[in-house]
Amino acid sequence: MTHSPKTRAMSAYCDGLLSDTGSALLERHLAGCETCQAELSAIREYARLREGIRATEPAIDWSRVDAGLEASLRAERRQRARMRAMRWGAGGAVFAAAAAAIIWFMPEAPRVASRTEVPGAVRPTIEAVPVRLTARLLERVGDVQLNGRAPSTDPVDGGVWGTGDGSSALLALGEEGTTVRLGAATRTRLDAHLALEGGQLQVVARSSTLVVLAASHRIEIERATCVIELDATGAVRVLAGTEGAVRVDGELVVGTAEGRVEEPGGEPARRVDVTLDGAVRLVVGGRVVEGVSPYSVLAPRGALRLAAFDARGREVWTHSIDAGDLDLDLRPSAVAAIGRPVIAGHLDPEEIEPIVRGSQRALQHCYEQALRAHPDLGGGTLRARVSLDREGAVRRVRLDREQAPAVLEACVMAEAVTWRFPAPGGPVSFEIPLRFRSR
Amino acid sequence: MAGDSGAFQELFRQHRGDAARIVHRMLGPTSEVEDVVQEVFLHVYRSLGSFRGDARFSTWLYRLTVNVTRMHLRRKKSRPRFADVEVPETVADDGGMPVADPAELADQRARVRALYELLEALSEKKREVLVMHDFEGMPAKDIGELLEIPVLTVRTRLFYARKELYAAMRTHPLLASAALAIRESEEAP
Repeated sequence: MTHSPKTRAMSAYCDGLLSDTGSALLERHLAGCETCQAELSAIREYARLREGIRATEPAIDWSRVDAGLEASLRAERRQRARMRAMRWGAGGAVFAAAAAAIIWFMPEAPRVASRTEVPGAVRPTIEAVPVRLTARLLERVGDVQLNGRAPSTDPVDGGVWGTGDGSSALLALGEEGTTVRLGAATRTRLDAHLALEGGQLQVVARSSTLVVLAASHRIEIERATCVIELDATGAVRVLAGTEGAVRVDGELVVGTAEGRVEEPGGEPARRVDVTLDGAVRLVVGGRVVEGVSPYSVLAPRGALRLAAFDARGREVWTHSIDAGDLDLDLRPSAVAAIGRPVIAGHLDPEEIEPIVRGSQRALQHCYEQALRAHPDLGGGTLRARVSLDREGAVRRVRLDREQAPAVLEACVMAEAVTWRFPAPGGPVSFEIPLRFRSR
Repeated sequence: MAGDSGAFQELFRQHRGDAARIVHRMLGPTSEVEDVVQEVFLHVYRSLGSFRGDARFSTWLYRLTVNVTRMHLRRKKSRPRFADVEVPETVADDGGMPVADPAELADQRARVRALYELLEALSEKKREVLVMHDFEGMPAKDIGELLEIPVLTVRTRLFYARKELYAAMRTHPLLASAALAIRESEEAP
């Protein structure tokens, strides 16, 4: 016999709200009713999933949201400024004749010159200095060499690998050219902790990610599966294996470099010294900057926002500089000492267009295919939002258009993921409007 | 206040986590959460001037977030299909954090996704009440105030939302089998 399941009673039963008598009656009914058994199972499964959902915090890449929002706000402000200018222009036209007449008959008034402040440059400088590495080895240490020799186990300064109880190690890289080699047989799970000499910066590396700081050191860590190298220019290369290396920003000093701008009181303008703990990504004025790389940002008037994010996209530091009415110009020269550009994330429209244009024939084929399936399909614009990795390969494509036939979307998507752009040097997203029109 | 960039940044920093949590619970595990959160704060920026302070900012933001997410879901529903492919990344981005049991985790994720698919079949009114009450843990009285409906209506919607959901779960291949597994494990000696 089938019937409508006793949802309310069973929910109360699951929550322990039924009396003993009520529970006994329901259990007796459940024994012979498959509908209610299935309902009870669904209620319990839902309770389990609900608790899981409640306990889950969304993993948000705040650096992406931050950068996207900053770009949208900037566009919004520009739009507002344009609207204000248009209103002013319209109003001006109405009053132009009257004003001209008034000015014509007015005696000449003395002019007061208001001095315009010259915009000062605020430049980030990222300094590379010797690093100190403290690593906790989560697994047994095998063959370890420091500058070609077996390191001492005494916990003293200067190139020491102190095994201590066998589970921890301290390594100080005080000299240029220090090389650390972990033998191929060494099974290492490093929970590493890198610090700038003087304690200005501390960076934590999780077990499977080796974090290397830009400095004039060469660090080779040879593992069963992976060799990661930091060369003299501060660039990190993964020579083999599957593990990634993450460039970590060093000390970030936002202030003035040579030719510093002096405030009226004589103090250097806007200098921020900061300790970034575990940061792998910076957002400066809405632009994502990864690694220690030369970059240039023309910041808007007003507040310049700086933020740093860790490897999981969590914000670890934020700061806002009120620049008043100054335009801030962050110039690459300030960080040129670090080395060649590593990750900047930029593509010019001229670099994007030929790649998309190269797919014109294929995209046309997609449209013709869609027209065959949907003869009444008109023209329109399909907006493709494309995300690239630092090598220029497409990581993700999203298409957005009301009422686009699935066949067209699928075909365009299949073509778009094959695009290969010039390496932008860092993650980049852009939107391409694809216009379709039947003749 | 609109246009006051410093104040806005401070609000964003303080409240973005709450907004993200609400959007995430309304949409489920999808890559669209970040986009919607961004849209929410763009609305906040535009509307700060109209925020009169006669309600708490968090309540105002909650209502705004629900509205923006609702609009997003409506737009999504009106399309034949929303195309969104993720090209798999070659480098793992788990930051090296240990995972208890990847297979179990994947299974759990699949079931949560399935649950959200079923939620899409519920009416907008029922789904919102269910998400706020069951996933957000919000009391019926607060939901009533937020949505400007009587508490009794909240409870009625919640009851029927759950009832419809249980019925859908009973016939869903993944969720029904998971429910059966729970039952068997409980009945096992």
